[in-house]
Amino acid sequence: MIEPITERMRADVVVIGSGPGGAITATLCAEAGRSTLLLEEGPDLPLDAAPHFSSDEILHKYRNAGVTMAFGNPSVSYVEARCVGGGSEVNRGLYHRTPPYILDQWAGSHHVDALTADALTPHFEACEGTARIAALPGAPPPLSQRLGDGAAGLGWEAIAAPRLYDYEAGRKQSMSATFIPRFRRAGGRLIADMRALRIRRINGRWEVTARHRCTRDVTIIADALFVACGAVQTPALLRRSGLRRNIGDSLRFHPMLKVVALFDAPVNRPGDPDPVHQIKMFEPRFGIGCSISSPSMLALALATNAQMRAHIATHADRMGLYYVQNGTGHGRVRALPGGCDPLVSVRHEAAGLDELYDGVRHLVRALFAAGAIMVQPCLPGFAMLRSVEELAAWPEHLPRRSALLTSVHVFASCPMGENRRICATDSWGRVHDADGLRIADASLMCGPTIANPQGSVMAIAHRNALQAIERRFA
Amino acid sequence: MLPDFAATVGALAATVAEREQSATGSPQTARDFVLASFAAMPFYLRSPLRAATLIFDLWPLFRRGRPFHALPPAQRRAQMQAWEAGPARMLMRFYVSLSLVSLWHD
Repeated sequence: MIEPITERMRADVVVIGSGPGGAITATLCAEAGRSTLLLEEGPDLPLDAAPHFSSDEILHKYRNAGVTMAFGNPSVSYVEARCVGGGSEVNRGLYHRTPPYILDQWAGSHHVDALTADALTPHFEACEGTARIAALPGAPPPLSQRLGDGAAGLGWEAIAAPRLYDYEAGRKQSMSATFIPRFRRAGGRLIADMRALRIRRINGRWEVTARHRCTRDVTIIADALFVACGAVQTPALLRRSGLRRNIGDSLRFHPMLKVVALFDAPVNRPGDPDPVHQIKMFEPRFGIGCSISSPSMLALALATNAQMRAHIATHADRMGLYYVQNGTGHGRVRALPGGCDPLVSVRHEAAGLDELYDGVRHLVRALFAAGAIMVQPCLPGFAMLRSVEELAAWPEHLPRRSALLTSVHVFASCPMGENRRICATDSWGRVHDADGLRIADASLMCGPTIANPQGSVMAIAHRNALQAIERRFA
Repeated sequence: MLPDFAATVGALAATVAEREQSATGSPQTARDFVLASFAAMPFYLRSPLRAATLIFDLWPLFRRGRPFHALPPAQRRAQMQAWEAGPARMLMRFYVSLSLVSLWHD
């Protein structure tokens, strides 16, 4: 259903951004009987509009066609979604609850109230029911099992992560398949292709100036406003609108380094389920996992390694792509005058990069223990390895020019908590000194989780939206 | 002969395709994918990238009398290899990476 667009619109609640945080917030507000308008900058496309991880999907569902960069030494190439459902549409849906020790850290550093594992449990459970979180039934795909086997061979623990996935139907799940339909059933209105340009407080209400792909600028008036545009676009919108206190100063990533392994037998068969194994016992120093290993993703990871790339033509079924990630890097988001895209910068501490590099060494060891016959780190200047002993020839520290960092997780740009020296909002997502304005996305997180953050974003949005409704959005 | 951004992107994609002989995607599709990605990039990346690409295209003009996009395939390969090992390797990495995604599209 296409929502009619007029020059001036009105709603009790406006939510900007339809990713996991925004979709859950909008659903709860609509179900509470509030007239709720959900704005999304990107298009409203079905979950299966393009094959997952295809070039079509990159062009149509990713912000800037996937070409976004945090500038630094080294820079971080990160990706964000820009479509109804946000990141949940394009990610693999791997799911974790926030580790309790992370919540304890946030309570200590940012003074976040009432955000314990016990307090969050009902919110995790509520989200998991609708989003269809499930463990892979049956045997995992060989590419995934190999990582588990390699870990076991070294005496390490590996787990098989649950996903947003309907294994009975064989279909990935996302916000557009779960919460957005629930939002619509509750009478919520969704407008896609609508970019919020700025917000302002006027006469006790919030006014959103937005631009639709097909119309002139429109004005939307709301009693309560939630900004859920993601950890880069949320601070960009707030800063464009004159709200700058602790906004966009503390962006974090989960930067990744990748490795390709060639095994002695097929591990990567067409039609296999997505891999799910992860080695989490070294977190928070680093976490290890499996990536999508289609020929195009292998070729992309091996763009600077022609020797291993040459095997894709004949041995793609024996190749697997794996990653190491941690929380190194502190970023900043700044809106540029007249520009749509904010400037993102990042600085790294040597210790964080060293930990990531140590993670690559651990991953290489696990892959050889799993039966790999060749391992190629996706690091320019690093040769292919044929045995674990060759690791001894690696430089002590990762050369920064070899650190091809990528990230699919961005967060913590507007952290929550009662520590007003560093927090942008209170413990419930209310922007300090801005009545009726809340943030409802990954921006609120206080730091890295190393685990996939989507579960944390969903549960915290659920918690905060219920509190906002209970308080009548005061 | 003038520099030509779209023709240079097409020539770069065709050169990557020649090197990836087993990839099933077409150079034309790779060119279109790179141009579509370029069009969607943030403006502060787009402008310097376009300028660097045009410099890359003009580079062989004085030595070989033609811009990159009009060179024969062997000379294109040689120029790309030289740039991949030089200070402008990030420019080459950008074009090679995007072309590979399209050329190896399942």
